[in-house]
Amino acid sequence: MDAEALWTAVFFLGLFAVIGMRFVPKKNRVFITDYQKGVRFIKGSFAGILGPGSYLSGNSEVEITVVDMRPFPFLIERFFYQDGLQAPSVISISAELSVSDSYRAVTGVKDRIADSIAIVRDALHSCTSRMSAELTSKGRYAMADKVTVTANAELNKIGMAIANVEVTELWSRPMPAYPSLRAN
Amino acid sequence: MAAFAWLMVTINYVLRSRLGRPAKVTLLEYQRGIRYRRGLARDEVGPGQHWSWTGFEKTIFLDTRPIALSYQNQVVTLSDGFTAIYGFSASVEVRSVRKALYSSQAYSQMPAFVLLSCMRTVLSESDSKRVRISQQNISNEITERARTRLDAAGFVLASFRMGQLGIAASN
Repeated sequence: MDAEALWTAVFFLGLFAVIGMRFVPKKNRVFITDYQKGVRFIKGSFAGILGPGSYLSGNSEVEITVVDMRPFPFLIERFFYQDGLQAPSVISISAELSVSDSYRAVTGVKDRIADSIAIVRDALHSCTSRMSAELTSKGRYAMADKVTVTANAELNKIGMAIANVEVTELWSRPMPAYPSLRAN
Repeated sequence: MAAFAWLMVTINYVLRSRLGRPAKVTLLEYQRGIRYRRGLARDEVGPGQHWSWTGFEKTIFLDTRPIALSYQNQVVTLSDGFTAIYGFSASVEVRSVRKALYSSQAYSQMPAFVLLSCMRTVLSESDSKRVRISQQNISNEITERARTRLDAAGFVLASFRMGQLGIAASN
């Protein structure tokens, strides 16, 4: 093959490549940073968790959902309840939500932050209504630990977790002293 | 010659599909960013124009202008059952771009979260007598707590003023 024929072949190959590229479905590039994770689905089925990097996606076969793994701080303020002794009480907490399992966080709930906060509120209600509010700092830590354990048991089902729970306000109305009960 | 040009065009297409294309990112004088290469933080970039390959590089930037906060008529129950009403205004600046970016999903909400938490914690641990007579001490304690936590999150507390603090009623 002489040089002229070779260059002609290269010319036509290049022409076909450029025309061919126009008909290839355009793919998007998904960029995942080191504080994110990607959940890849191929033809609708789960196909793995992706770490930091750059990936092609966007066609009908491969879909990548990016999950932010950074904490989401939130406050629950002035939560009124009746404690284990039926005393009117109030509690406020601050805490951080984060994703513990990106696959479950993507497939388990539609709005993971809003749903997680609802779960934390339920956990808060269930913990506080069974305990008597101890107003010391030790009591606050105990309450925070209890809320963390109870909330995480439920949040784990949707791939979320709560951490750094701090009881920022806790008060319970003192119960009146009743006269001792005697047998009739 | 034409064939050589076509060869270059073909190589260009192949490289573009792998590397993307060079793109210019312009950061304004109040913006700072972190350049990521293949998903990993590479270096911090300041104001100006920065080139990156769209295929494997990305610059994520933050607004470093001061974040102003103002909250009024917040209610808290004190340790002796009285209810206090408080308000404050503050200004917070980004000190470390990297820490601020990684501190939370929405970095601009972090200062409000920290200040509201510290404010409520300190007031809730105080009684009505302390609130009446030593407001300056309370303000100092809140500032100290908030400063430590904000520093860990990459922010600096530029100013803090507790404009409103009073006893409302007893529960």
